[in-house]
Amino acid sequence: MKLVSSASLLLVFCGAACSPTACSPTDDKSPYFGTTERHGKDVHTFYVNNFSEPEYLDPGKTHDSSSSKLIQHLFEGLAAYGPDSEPVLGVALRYDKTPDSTFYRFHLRPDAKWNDGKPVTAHDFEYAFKRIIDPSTGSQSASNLYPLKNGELVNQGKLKLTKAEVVVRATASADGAEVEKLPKGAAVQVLGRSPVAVTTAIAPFADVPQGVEELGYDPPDASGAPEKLVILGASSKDERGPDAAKRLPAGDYTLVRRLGPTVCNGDNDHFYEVAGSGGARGVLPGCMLGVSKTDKAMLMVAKHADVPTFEVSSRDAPPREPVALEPLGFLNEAAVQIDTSIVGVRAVSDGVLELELAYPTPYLLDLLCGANAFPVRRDVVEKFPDDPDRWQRLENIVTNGPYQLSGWKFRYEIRMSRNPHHRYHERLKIHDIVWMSVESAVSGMNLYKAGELDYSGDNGTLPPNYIPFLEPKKDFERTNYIGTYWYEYNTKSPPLDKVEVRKALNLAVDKKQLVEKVLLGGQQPASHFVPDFMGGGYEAAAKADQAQGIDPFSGPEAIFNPERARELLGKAGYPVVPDGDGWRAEGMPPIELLYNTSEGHRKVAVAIQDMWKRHLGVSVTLRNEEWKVMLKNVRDRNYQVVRFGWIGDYDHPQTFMDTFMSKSPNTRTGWKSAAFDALVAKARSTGDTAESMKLYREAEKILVDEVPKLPLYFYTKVGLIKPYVKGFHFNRRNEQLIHWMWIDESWRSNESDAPALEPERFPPPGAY
Amino acid sequence: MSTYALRRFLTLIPTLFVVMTILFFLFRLAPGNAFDNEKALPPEVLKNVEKQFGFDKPLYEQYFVWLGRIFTEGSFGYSFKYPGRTVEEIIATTFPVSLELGLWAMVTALAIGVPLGIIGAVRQNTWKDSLAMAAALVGISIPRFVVAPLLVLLFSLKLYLLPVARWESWRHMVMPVFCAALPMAAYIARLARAGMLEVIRSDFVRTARAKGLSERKVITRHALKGAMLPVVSFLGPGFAGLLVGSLVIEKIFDIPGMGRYLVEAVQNRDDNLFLGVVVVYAVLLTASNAIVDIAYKFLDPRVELD
Repeated sequence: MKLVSSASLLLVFCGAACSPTACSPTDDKSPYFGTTERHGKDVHTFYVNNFSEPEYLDPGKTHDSSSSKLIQHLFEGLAAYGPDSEPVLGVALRYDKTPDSTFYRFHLRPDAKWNDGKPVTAHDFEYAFKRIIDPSTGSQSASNLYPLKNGELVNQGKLKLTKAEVVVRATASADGAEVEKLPKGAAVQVLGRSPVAVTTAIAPFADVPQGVEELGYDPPDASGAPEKLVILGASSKDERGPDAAKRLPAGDYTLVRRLGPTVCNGDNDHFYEVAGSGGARGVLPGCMLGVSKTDKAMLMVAKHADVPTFEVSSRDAPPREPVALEPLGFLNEAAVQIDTSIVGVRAVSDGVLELELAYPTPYLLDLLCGANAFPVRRDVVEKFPDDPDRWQRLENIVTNGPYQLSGWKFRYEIRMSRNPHHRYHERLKIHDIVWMSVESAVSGMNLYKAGELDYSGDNGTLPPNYIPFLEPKKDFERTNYIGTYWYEYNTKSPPLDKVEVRKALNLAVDKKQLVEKVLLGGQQPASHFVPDFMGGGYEAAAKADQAQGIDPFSGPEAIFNPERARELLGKAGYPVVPDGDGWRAEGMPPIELLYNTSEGHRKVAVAIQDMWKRHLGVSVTLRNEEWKVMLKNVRDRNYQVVRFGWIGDYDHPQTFMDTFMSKSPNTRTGWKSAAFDALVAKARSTGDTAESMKLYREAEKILVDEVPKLPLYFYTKVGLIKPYVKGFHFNRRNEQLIHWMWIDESWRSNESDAPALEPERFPPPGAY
Repeated sequence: MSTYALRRFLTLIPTLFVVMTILFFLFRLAPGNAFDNEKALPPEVLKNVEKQFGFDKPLYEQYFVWLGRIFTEGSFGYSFKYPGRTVEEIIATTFPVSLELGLWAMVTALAIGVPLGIIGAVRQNTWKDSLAMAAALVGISIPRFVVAPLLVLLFSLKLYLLPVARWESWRHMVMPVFCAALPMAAYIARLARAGMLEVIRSDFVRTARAKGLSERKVITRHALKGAMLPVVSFLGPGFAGLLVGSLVIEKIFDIPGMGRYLVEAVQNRDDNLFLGVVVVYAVLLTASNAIVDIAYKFLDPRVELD
């Protein structure tokens, strides 16, 4: 994705001008790729490619794979990835939980230490978790800790606490009638801010409009396009432009009341009645209201009763459905503040950490192995108040993982050595790690071949056109990887608003051919969205369905079926008729396919363009844009079909299903289904794994039937690893941590491939 | 002379100022920004991230803050992509690498190009001339991203003579320096040949020959200096081009230089870094042109500096 075109050109050139078999050195017949000798390197130093320069070595802020990989070695969470990526003991020795996975209590090992010798305590975890949730930290990964009770609301700035006793008033003015007095520390949800700025020239509604399903609002943009409001009903579409005669005079307005709910630009929203000083009044959706510059604002709030108590008995079972909040009144904005004390994490003592979750989270242990759940120490992080990112530099950073940072050459390499205070210190077989940041796939491969690298790296890639040559080599490895490559439809853009059209386009793609002829990486063709090999019980459920012949994702309605596709397109009003050697879809407008500039994405797009033309007679124009530009256009819904994908944040189907939920910030398709939302919510709160997975697959069936996205393939990961590296287990999380590995000089005679350390599994959880 | 040099350098300031201003606004008006990510951020978080980088202020104010910081603190601010690192810090670690690569490449290019050009001119229309100019044509036409992998294949993966990539010892420098030098050497050869051809037909060379000097002395003592004029005037932009164009070489040989930021910083929408790198290049380009102008005076007594 990041390779610039010059590098891609290089790949193309190398593939064309010198096929690997023709140009490789004479050791072609060797069962291994390149040398298997280690010249002048000691067996305790490991050389690996990490692909690119890390952005953050701060567990709270990391959001890219190169940083997270380093953090996995520098820090240690409550749990850690074992050699096979299953959670093993980290700082925690054992844990208790409730049967429905909403309360967790972790017991920390008493001897855990930071690399400056100070003990790692539950308070470090509490601080780290709350720091991520606190929006002032600006973490781009806070959603990974949203399972913590109130975490999501606090992070989004919607949940605040009163600083002192405060009067709630009926209207947004300092002399409004008193509704209620709230004590200090009371939790309120923010529903709106008053005054709001009105700049729109579109006439306001007199009252909440009836029959509106969704609104789309485009503010006037710099290029001079006028603003526009699109009102979508169940079967109607109404566009309104500026109307100078009926507009509200621009300026600050007071919120009078909150009215009925709506969805605007994909977000859950409400209509508000606003009033101006001159007596002007009107109803506008929240998305058309601007932020007033005044710093003396009133907030429209609702009471928030759901605070963590860490007491199981306090909770009424079963979990409550979220209720629509009724506004209580207005209070002074200065009287409330963001306060993470209301988030569901607390250190009971130095050795005990309790978590109260917003919903059942059976995959919590897996989340806790992730870099964002690692501890940081307050005195270390807050040492540089003027420069909040300086603490992670080589000279300042304090870590608690098996390794510590020992060298950092910007954009070149990072070195690590053993942490003398870690319990693994004596037992680690790899003492030093050299992480190179080689971004070119060909250079990485060449360095491996020449013996400069022991492993091509979790984040490294291999040039796709070399894979057929590398595949038979003994040091070539491949694994399934929990990610799905898909195309997203703009389901509001005709003709893609018709489900038959979306489905026809899906059934006209021969994914098997795509994978075998175009991608060459051994990927699995995808007829649905959650990879078949997903953890959390999904893999077993998928296999059981397949064994019984009731797999909902393998029938003629799910996989390549050009005849059915033509039939569906005909049903949608675009009859497909024979035209010469091929087909022509009558009346079907050309479809635009958007992807971010990259050789790999282009290849896929060209193949799909060809398949749609060949099987359906649909014309496709390709549009490629630079990544950041594409993101903006997709957010503005300025696209028809766009290339995306998803790598699981954790090993559970929820991570994929989440991206389809109505309220997810990652839903870009405009597609929504209450039935789907309800099924996923039910699946998540179902304690029985088999039953839960059944519900997940039922929900997924809705997706396959309504096709908001077009699944193409499940990811694989390929790599090169020298035969003398032992304890390496390629896994679907792509977490091959180096402290499990070792270098075996007698690898030719020694069969053992055991990890360098015995992984310690968690004992069965106790009762919370 | 020194007043000319001073004046020449003073005129750089308004040029740079205009370049910086245009680029600042062009960059900010381009669609997308550094904080646009695949996963959408909650507005509250985005607000804090933007505040950290001053994006919450109006554009003109951001411009003055940015400009003010450059002139008062000498700082381009923090990189967006590599938080906790200032732009000048990134430039300070990567520019010397590019400079080292560029200087060696220039020396190599001169060492190859000048003799080739002289041979071509002195032995005009012989097979030696044809061979030298054919080599130059090849050098100009074959792009570096073709030459580099071929060299790696031959010298590293077949003959095991040189390292595949990286930037450690002189052995690591051989291939990248050669690759970077090749097109420039070819250019220099053609320029040197043209310059020499012109000079050896001039009166003072005829005079030198008439004095009975050996051909070698005529060329080295008298003709060479004048023949180098076109080469020298090319060295300024040529050197800047070497530094800017090192992107491909840096990628292929994994060299931690500055060339890649010109492209990458745009892709990442890393405004501060991009602007910082561009300013460095602008200074470099304008300054090297100024130096070339001044160097002319030494090579050609007829040049009036005014």
